[in-house]
Amino acid sequence: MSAASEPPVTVPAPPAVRTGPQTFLARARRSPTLMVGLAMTLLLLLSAVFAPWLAPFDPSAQNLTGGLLPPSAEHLLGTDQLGRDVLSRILFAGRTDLRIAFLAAIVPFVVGVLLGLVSGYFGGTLDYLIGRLVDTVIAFPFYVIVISIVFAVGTGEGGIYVAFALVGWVGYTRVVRATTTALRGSGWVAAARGGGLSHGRVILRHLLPNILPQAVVLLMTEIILIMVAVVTLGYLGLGVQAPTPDWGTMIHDGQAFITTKWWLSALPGLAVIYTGISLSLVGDGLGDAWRVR
Amino acid sequence: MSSLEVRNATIAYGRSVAVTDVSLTVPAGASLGIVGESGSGKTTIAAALVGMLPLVTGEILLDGAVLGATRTKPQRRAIQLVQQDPYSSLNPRMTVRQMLRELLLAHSIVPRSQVAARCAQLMAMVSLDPGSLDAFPHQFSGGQRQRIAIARALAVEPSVLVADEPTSALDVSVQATVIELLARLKQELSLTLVFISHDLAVVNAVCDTVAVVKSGALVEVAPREQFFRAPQSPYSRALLEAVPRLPTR
Amino acid sequence: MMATDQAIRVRDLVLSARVPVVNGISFDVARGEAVGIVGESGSGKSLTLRSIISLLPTGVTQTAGSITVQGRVGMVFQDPLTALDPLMPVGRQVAAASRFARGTGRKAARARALELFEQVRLPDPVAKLGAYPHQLSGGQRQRVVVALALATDPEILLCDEPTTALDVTVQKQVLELLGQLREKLGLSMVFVSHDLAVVSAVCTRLIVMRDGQIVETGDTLAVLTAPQHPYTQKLLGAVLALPVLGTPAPIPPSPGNGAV
Repeated sequence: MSAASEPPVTVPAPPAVRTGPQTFLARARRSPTLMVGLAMTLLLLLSAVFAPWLAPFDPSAQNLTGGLLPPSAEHLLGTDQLGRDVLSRILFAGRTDLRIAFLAAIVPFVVGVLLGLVSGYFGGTLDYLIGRLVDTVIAFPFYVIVISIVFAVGTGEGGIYVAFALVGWVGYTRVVRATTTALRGSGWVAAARGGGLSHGRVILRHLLPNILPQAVVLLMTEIILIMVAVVTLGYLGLGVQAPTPDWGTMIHDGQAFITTKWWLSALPGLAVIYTGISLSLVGDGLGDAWRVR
Repeated sequence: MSSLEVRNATIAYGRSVAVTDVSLTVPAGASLGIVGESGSGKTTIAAALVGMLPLVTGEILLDGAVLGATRTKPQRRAIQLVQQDPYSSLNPRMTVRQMLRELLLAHSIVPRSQVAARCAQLMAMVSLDPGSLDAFPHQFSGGQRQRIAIARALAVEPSVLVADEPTSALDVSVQATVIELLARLKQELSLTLVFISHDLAVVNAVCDTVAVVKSGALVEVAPREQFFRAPQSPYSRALLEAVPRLPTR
Repeated sequence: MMATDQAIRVRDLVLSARVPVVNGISFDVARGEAVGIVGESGSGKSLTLRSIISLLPTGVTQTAGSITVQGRVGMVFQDPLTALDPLMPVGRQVAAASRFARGTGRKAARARALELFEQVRLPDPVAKLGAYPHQLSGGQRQRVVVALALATDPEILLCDEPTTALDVTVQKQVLELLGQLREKLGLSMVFVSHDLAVVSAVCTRLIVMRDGQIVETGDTLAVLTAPQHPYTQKLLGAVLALPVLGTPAPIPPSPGNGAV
């Protein structure tokens, strides 16, 4: 006696165990971390984009007689030692620093993820060589390398981009390589190859989407690190040069007045912290939303 | 449909030899069941048949032509595998449609304009609702996933289908339907089928020839009826006697 | 109040993990009886078994009903690889269980472990006392797991798919062993499996579960030959038939055989 064929089934017949939202967007909406993070980041980005319209004054406009003024109706956050409006400078500095941080994050991300994929997928000599390269770069303290490169290439934006392109990819490679190696043995990878698909196709179309969530979460952290490095370089006078406003140089300049006009250094510092928190929340939230099952 | 032949194959995992000097013939359109207990080497044979494992010595022939160590794209297409575990054989981040579409285009099975229609056809072939083409694997049950795996294997229009314990991970009631599906497809599509299993009842339902392996060596090959009625080797007999059977009146 | 000839009594048992996974089941196991619980995945059969000794996984709790057990319980687990400590010789594991149950000293416990190994027909039992789980075959490991269950001198044996992970020839031996032990020691048994044929080899009474409920129960032969519930019929229908095995042909006399 044979059983009747199973009739065509409409999906999703929800399997008993799985509760919770099934799509990425549904999970995303339910993550308070992601929602708050996105709201904060949106605010940040909007203030950076619309800085020219939001800022009450020209950030470079000096007024030597009106220097070091406390917060007032006219200057909501006061003025710095050269009479420049602090609020305007913070907004424009954010514009600069965010732009540099986001741009500088791109090349390391792409290079790091690709090297990680290739390393984990092919293994063998290639993996070994890339691994040794990673070990070499990691052996040097981060800031030592970055500062050396900036000295070599020259201060300012250019130096920052080169420095991170050369050094920033390592974090992604390690993480992506580990995950790729683990996924390499999966049934679906074997099935893709068995189906006649090329290595390139398997890596980019099959493996990449599975490691991308992890890599993007890491990206958020890396942007924060780059941001902090940009600010640090600015503080040391090696980053963005005057008169372009930059949170780092603002913190440096305000140092001399730390006991009396503490807000000159503290406010740019808070801006950096705010950026860090928003991006961190977005990273965590994305992790929540991407977790399938 | 194609004929498949294995000649004196020895297969190893790294240093340890798993299969020694095995020879098998599967005529075009026939179905061979390879039976064995754990560690017998039957899964190793399946992996070698589809080209996942290289042979140490010996050769595998498709329609009389020897398959080299690295297979060409048409050769890989010709022999397809249905894996045992439906929970790891489907890419969790691809919809069913994407999986099928990719294969259809990679081998130019149908022109681009007909891809959607062919995807729906493949789903219908394995008795799944074409409306669920855009769902992800985790939204399906184990039995349904295995059907998707079968649809994927069939998408490239292979001439040989190797099924490695395709129902072992499934519930009993679902097993029967998947077995029935495979038997029907073999008939309708004139496939040559190689069916790996530890379950003799399943092999009886699908295969016309039975090969028994033990510790990497071939113990017996016989036509189905003869094998189940009067097995030649003591090991085969021991296997058959050990299967618990339902009591009858 | 439970009758003295009852080993286990379950009444209106409800197990929940956010939603009920076992939804109000009741059954009895008489002393010396072997009851089989069959069902597919998600039926709740394993959870029911584990609830008898309160061995529920985290997240699952008994929210209603009662379980009364009369007698000591031993449990035979499905996967010997996870049931045995990989870093301890098997003899020591069984001896430890025996010491815990009987409170004897180390020497007596070791002797008892040897006795148990002999009882479960472990080949070369003395040598096996010092062996590690990975040094044993699957069948031998499962015999050790049975010995472990017996080390506590149980009156009731709970078996959770004890042969599912085993080869068919080994399965046959372990099932025979369980049957013999049950007779010899007068054990009551609850045997959970998804395999109807396996259960019918060991149990005199069957309980069929689906989605957390009992759909049918009765004598093994009655349930398997004349199932009442459509689900039972469906399960039976799905079992693939195996042709009847012919008896082996008599070995023809060969020269020098001495046959006359």
